[in-house]
Amino acid sequence: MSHLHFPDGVLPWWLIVVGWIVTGALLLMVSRRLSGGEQRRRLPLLGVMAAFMLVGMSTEIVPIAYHVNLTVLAGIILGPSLGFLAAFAVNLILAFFGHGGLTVVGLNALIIGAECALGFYLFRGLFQGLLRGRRWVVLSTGLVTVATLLSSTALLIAVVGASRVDWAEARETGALDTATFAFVNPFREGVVASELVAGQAHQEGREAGLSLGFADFVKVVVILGAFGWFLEALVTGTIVSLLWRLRPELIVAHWAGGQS
Amino acid sequence: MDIGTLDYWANQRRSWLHRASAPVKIIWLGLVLTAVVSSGSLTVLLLIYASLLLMIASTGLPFIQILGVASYPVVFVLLLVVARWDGTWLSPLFLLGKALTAALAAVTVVVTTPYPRIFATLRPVLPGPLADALFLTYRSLFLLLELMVHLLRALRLRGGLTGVSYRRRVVNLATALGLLFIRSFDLSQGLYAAMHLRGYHGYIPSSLGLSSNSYVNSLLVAHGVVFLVASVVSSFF
Repeated sequence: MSHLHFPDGVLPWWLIVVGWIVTGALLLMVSRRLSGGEQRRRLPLLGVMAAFMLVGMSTEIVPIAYHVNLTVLAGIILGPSLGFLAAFAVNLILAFFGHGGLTVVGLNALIIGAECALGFYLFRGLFQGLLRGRRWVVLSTGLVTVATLLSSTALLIAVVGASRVDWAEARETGALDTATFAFVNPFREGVVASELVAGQAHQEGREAGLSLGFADFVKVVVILGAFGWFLEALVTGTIVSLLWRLRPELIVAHWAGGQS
Repeated sequence: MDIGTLDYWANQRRSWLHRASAPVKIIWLGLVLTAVVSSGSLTVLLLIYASLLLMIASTGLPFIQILGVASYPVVFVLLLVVARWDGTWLSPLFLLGKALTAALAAVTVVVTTPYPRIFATLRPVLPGPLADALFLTYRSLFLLLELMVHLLRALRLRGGLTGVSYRRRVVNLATALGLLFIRSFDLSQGLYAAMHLRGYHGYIPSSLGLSSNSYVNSLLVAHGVVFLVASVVSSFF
């Protein structure tokens, strides 16, 4: 895995809603650009590319969920707008398989869509500008892939950081005392005393020095992700190199008249 | 995650859940997801999860395989737990409960509802090109999966995946994916030509399917409403 798919129930409502609002606005914008006949002509390619991404994501290269995403390839082939549509379609389908949450499809699509858009612009800039020619295709694609996935990982870390949810306090802590508007555990004493519904246990954990924090999360994500970035860079570079040899028109389709 | 197998269960197998209509199942899914996401009670989460397990078991579909598919979020949740772990076992359990329950609800829908009906249900709330893209993705997916199976078999027979370094294996696999993509592109050209000849003007007609069982529909909605109310009530009592 080169990035995480947020599951349901781990992020606060406000963040989920913001994700949907931004994604919805982008989807409307992109769909309006596809209303012309020429753009509709490219819908089958979008469907095929999204299916290709799904095939890639269902092919585990290394166990524990390491698979290629091919989002940078999608961005290079489809351009940023169609790439975003493909990213949303893929996330929606994957969410129905439990691969990422349904309520957070908006946020997940934003992160994956950002990979497509960034991949397109970085590749066009690097390959058109600095590293032109067939012998630089693999290197430029590899660099672009690593840079793109590093950026999307940073975005993901920012989203997790922005959520600022303390899950120990978010779970059940008892009944709301309407007089003081404080949560009191109704099962804290007596015959029905139960730790299963108690919220105080998290304090003991913190005092015992067992807690982990955001910095640990960042370290784990970057270390695990880095392996995926380089793997994806190798795969994407090989694919783009093959395409450049056999079908270069697929890669430069959007460069002349701007992106789509 | 064998997408073809899940699609087969949705289209070819029969159970009481298959008889519920697609729109009702989507509404039910919305109710259950809202209950799960807003729940602050581990007890309610466990009850929802147990009820979903019972539903799956009662359909006669491969229980363990479905549970395996619905357990995919475990890795992601464990990573997110690292971000805020307080040293107790209850917090990770709570998070896992939410993610796994939500995933199981979604998988319950997808293994008992053909994908085109799900897309047809969602079409009114999605932009037109996106709805068409979903149908085209679904159509292309199985063609690509079949091509991928043949390509991988050819690669194995030619020794591309064994007896070589890991890097070489990845490069061989990537080359196979590249060839698959070129075939996919040609497929998309043919697909558009066929659609154009059949009069495609920016809208793929879709159907919600045959009539459904109203008793099953009511049962599903009642299930969703009960647990949504339970989630809300558990926050205050």
